[in-house]
Amino acid sequence: MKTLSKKTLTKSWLNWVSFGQQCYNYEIMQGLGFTSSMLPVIEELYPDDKEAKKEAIERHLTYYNTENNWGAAVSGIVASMEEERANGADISDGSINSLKAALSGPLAGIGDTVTQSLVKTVLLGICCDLALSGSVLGPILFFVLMSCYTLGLSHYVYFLGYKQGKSSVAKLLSNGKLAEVTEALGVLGMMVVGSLIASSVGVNTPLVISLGQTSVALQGILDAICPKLLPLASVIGCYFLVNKGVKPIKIIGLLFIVGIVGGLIGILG
Amino acid sequence: MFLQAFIMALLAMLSKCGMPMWSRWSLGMGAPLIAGFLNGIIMGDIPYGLQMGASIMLVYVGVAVIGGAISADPMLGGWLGVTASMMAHSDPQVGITVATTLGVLGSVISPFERTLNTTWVARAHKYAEDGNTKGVQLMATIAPMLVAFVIYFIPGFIMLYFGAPALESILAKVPAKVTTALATVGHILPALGLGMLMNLLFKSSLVPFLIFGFVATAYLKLGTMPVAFIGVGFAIMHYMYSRKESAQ
Repeated sequence: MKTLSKKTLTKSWLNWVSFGQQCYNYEIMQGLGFTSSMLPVIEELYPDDKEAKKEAIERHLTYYNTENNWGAAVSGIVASMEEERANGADISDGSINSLKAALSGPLAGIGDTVTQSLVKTVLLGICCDLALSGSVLGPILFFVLMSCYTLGLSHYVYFLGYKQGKSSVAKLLSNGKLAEVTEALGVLGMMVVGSLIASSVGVNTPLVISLGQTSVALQGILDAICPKLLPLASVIGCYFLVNKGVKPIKIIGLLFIVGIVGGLIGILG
Repeated sequence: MFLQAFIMALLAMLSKCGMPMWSRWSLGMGAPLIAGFLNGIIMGDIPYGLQMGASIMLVYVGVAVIGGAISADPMLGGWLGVTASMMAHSDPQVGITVATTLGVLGSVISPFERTLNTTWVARAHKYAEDGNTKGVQLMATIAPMLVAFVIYFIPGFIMLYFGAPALESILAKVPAKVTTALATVGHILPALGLGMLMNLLFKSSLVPFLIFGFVATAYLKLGTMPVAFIGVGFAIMHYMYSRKESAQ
């Protein structure tokens, strides 16, 4: 009866969370990174069997693409499947491949939302604010907290996947709780976005309208209607363009033109 | 200056090829903020570094990588753009334009890296033939760095070491009117990142919270931290109420 040691599993998790994305490529995306996370497992299960090693490596050198942190669960589950297989359980290459394909997508969906649009945004919003007010805590806090998140979460889901197998992750994905928590986190994300619109988009208008003797600053009129109206309008405009499927690189080009032309003729500042 | 260019080009390379992957989210997606701080330490002017870093970071706050595709690249924009702008002693708002241009360049270069990396997959298959796990591991770790070294480090270092002084003399000659126009671009660009973020998070039930956050900062002048705290409170409420509704 072969059992993977704690040391091997830790190495496997560390390989994933360190080298998962290293050899990112158009052929098999993170396939080589995933294989890297399986190498310590393969070495321990088949120390002297060259043929078994070859088969096992080839089994994992296939297309794979998921989110860096949440995706660690798949590595954990596959490690446990490899262990069962080495002990004689009837687990085919096909069932390992279909498991990877079935879980990597949904985990990437959750991971992309939670890691990027929530955790990263909220932390960056706060830390940029700190840095702009001159505190070195801004960059330091961001590095420390973000690293705790990536290392902590990936470690947790890797071992969850290994110990409780695919049922744990399937349960996590299917019960409504995760969706509810994600939506609740969306509340926080949206509030921070709203705040950032007002604090980080600095566009305004220096235009002064002269009517005979009196001159009126347009920005003053806009502020009376709603402060930060121009930032709000530009974000909503960008949102509609993104939503329509316009490529971000084109929107960057558009903003460059609007900014330069508006700045040169003195409408925008 | 040699050392500064060397360190920053190296960090640009490491964050671009995701080495180690767990740092992609701090040193990669947060590159401008951290690059500003590190350059500030090297140049002995931390407040300038924090200003430059955070100003450029705000352009990229909303940027997300979905399925491996990145739309605007905070890594080259961060490590190289922040460093070049600081070496040229430019104003943070002008720095935004410099960094964003480099960021666009970054997303144009990435496909070359991903294409060249397929070479290592072929070699990994060869090592697998012999059951050589060490060889496969090398292909997954060290080998891709050769590609990154050629694609990111060398051009990055040359650009910083020779380009930054040139940038400084160019910026000094540019008429004030053009600098103002570039600063305007810097003022409006963060709108894109936030628009993208809104697109990711959008759900009609969440729109009220966008309004709350906006009003809290635009009218009540609250910083992001207090708004985030209020947001946590609302998030808990939202969670409890939506659970109750679904339980009924």
